Amino acid sequence: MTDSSNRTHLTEQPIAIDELLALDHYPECGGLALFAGTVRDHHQGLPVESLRYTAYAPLAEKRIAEIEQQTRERFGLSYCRVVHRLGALRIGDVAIVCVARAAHRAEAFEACRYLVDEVKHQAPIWKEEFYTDGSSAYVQGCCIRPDSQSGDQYDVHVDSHPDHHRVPHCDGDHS
Amino acid sequence: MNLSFELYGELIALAGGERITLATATAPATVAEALVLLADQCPALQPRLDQCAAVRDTDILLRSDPLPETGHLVLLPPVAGG
Repeated sequence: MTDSSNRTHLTEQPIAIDELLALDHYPECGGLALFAGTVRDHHQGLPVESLRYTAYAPLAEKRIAEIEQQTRERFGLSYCRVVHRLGALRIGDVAIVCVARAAHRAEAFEACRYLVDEVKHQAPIWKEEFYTDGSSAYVQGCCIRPDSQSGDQYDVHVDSHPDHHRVPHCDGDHS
Repeated sequence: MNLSFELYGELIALAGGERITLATATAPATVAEALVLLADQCPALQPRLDQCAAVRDTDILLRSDPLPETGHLVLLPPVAGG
């Protein structure tokens, strides 16, 4: 339903991790943290055969770019990068890659975790699991409605450390 | 006017399609009013709508915001990437 041209954070192709590391740049950086989320074969006790990721691309691209910018500012990074895969994925496939480069390892590690958590909580991407018995289900996620009555917030100025269970129903962690 | 709703995630399966179009005699004033009409027309979506973000292009709207002049809303259920 969306145009796939001019995308920088979403791809339907396998993610080329090496191209995201920017190793020929940023000589001031001594720390590079890399997170790759891969498809595993189980979720909440159910055997998973494959996944399908879909997205509302215009807003997903915008939000991931904003998260990258916030992360660079918050942790004083020289560079960070997030790419999320869309489409049908098999067990072991890479679904998301986050790279953070900083002068020292502590900021790089912390920033990398922050990146993946914020993307999981805010980017309009959905994960449909296909189980070995032939059934399927969407993973329950995080409400991004700003005026939700359940207390969930769409906040572009997150000022606390992200929590994997920041909202009661935000429990679809598959990475 | 015609209202149109673009659906994502589990909403597509619940509604039986990626888009719902409604013809209304009078234009809803707000996003909330448009969603009431949608719930009446498509009861399967009703339990999920409270947790959906309503979006115009790349702007997430409040329920109290005016309905876009286009009558088009994108509805985003809770997100689960990564």
